[in-house]
Amino acid sequence: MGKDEARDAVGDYRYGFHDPENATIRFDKGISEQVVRDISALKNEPEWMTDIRVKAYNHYVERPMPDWGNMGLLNAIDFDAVTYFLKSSSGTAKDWDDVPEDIKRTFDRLGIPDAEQKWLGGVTAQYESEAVYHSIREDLEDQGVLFYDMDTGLREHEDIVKEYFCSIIPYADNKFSALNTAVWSGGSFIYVPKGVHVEMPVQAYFRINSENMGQFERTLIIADEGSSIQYVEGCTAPTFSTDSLHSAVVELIALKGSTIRYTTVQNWSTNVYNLVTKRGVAYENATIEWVDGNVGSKLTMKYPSVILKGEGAHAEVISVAYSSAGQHQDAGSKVIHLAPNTTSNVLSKSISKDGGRSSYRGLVKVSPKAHDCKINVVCDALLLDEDSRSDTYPTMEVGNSSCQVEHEASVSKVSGDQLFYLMSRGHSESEAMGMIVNGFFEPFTRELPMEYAVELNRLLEIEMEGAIG
Amino acid sequence: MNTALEHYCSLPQPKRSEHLWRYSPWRRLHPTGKVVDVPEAVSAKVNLTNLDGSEVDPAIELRPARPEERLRIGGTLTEENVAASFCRALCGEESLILSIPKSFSCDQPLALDITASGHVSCLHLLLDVEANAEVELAISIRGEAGWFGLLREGIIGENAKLTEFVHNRLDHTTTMIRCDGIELQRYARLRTSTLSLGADKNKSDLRYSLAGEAADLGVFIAVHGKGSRHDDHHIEIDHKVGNNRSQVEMHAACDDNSRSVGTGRLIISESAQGADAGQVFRNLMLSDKAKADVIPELEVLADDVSANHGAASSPLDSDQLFYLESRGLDEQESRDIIVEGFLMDAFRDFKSPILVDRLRTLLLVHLDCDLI
Repeated sequence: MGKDEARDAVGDYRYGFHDPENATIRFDKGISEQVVRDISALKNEPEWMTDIRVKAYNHYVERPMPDWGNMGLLNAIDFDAVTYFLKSSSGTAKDWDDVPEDIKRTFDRLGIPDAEQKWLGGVTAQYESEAVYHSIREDLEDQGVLFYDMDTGLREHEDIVKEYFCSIIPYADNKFSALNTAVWSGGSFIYVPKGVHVEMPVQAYFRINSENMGQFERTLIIADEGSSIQYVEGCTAPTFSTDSLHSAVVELIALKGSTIRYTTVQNWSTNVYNLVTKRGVAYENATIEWVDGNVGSKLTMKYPSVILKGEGAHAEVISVAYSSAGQHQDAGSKVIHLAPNTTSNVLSKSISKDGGRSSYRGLVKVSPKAHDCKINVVCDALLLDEDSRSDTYPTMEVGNSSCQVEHEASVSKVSGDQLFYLMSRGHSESEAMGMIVNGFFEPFTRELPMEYAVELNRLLEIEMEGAIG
Repeated sequence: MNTALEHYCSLPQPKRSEHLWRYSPWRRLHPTGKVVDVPEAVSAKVNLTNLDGSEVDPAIELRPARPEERLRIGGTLTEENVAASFCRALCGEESLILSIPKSFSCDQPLALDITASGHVSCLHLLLDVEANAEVELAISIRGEAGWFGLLREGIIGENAKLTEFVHNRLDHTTTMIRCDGIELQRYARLRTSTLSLGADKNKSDLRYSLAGEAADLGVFIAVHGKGSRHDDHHIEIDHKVGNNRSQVEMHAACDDNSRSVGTGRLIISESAQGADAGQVFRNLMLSDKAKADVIPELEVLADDVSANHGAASSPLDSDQLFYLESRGLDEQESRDIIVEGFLMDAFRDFKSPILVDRLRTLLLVHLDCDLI
């Protein structure tokens, strides 16, 4: 592919480049029980994990595709064309100098080593199916914080993984959690001991480099009593003419009085199906926060969930979705109140332009025992042109008389008054629109680490170019 | 086998993943529980008078519908709806039409009394409000039928105005299915209110199509759940063309073991620029065992619109109770006043003083309130 052709294919998506594939192990396309067993054997996993993988695979085969959502796009996925395992390096390096040069170059271009030095407590960099780089600050290690890629976590802390793996999201939860459980590879494993506060965020960066690749990382974060951690993940992929599949499972366990903040800035290229299951359980007085930004991908179906299991637990979900031509961001959140005096706050914002489609799909459920809960859900959508579409599908199931549930949603276009005001102060229409969009997303960006917020604003400005006229 | 029966049998049975049937599966609402059964049904008795009991103007007709009228008015909105198809199959060729002639205007509201009796009862009612007509209508549904199906289909003509309320006071053992499919033409206005108090299980599937520019729709629903009552309202509004307006306001007071379900689907199509649409669902939870479920959906395909929805559930406000009790009312009276105020608030934009007054009286009688 020449430079011009590449530019044509990549367009404005700055992470659309790809490096030559140098796979050390590459499985044939398609999935079978043998593929599942081979992945497990390759990783030298314990028997119980192989058994779960095989059970999950059988469930995946039997389970029909969801009969809701964007079935047109879902049914277009060719699962037989996907490569389910591809390894590009011989192991997980602890130093960037030990990472194969071509892969290191990719992450350099993504700015990961630089960010690590400046503001991160630890980094996992996953390239295709496995982590190629992993590090954690010494002081965190000294405090007993366990931060590994998931494969290493399973090898070195099998007892913890066995206790919590599939405990929040069973493999039979949905078709894609079954698929992930069958072929998972990579992801992060984090355990924060009692009372330890991880002040600097830890980051995982997921990169798909090859065509028709399937990435199925598995993340498990356990915050022990009174601890706290912030985890940030970013995702990019090259732009190809064929589709790739990303189907992750993330399980969070926030024990008594702990806090987990999980931040995602998803910027997959627009040929990636992003079908992710994320769920956390919060015990007494614990807090789980999902900060979720969806900018890229062809189809995203992602509904970060929190089960409020202990009294006084709190859930916070802030999500934004940006959908442009050919994209459908089907995102939302679920909060299930099982215990008394639990609270939740959901804020969802979406923007659709150039024929893109954004959907909010959410659930708030209050069980009969969950008295005196307070729930607030707000969804705002902006439509930037007449070809775009916005949907809102919120569900509220209230089984207790003492709780207060509030929900509001609105869909509108950018206010002409706001545009006029900014243009009368010398901004071009495009700049004014960009500023309004950045302002619309501000409740989300202010929750991001500074570097991510700057990056997201820049990304939106690029996306907004040419949005007018 | 008649055509309607064939059509019902050809429809796939609805899945629980459809929000319309999520909380009230069709199998549980069907008269026998076996969805392939289409039992014999007795036609409900219908009587039309003026609200004061006097005879209606002879220009207004309530009579069996002709085949061409059934073809013209019925079918489009309710064809794929399994419950509506079932009602059509039950009624066969029997349907009534209430016809309001062009430019007709009533001095006082009409009263349509529907009495359902027997094991299974049904009524297929067509509404034909012709251009520029203006009418107010009070519909009362009562009786002791084990199962009652009401299928209403109608067209509100250009610049016609229909203001109506439906008072459901069926026996507490009855299961009721109500399917409405009403089209509003250019400049038409429909204000429709429902006071849902009767029937053990009630499923209402109300669909409206704003097919003409500047059509104006208001749907106002008040539900009182007592005992083990299950009340499910689905309101679907399709803004097909631009510059029209719709408003949905549903208030449910849920007591004892009752369950209220409110699902809304608001569709603003690509050609409906300038639409203004809103839905509000409010639940007042009066008992620990009561349940309330709400799914207000928006599907917006045009950008120059105002579309919003809100939903809220909360318990009785203890400050309001204290205020009323401090003025000498006992607890039950205070609760009744709050419930009455909450439910009547659903009709605040109904804008028909006579009908609102009537609704309030009916509600107070139902609440057995001493305030009448």
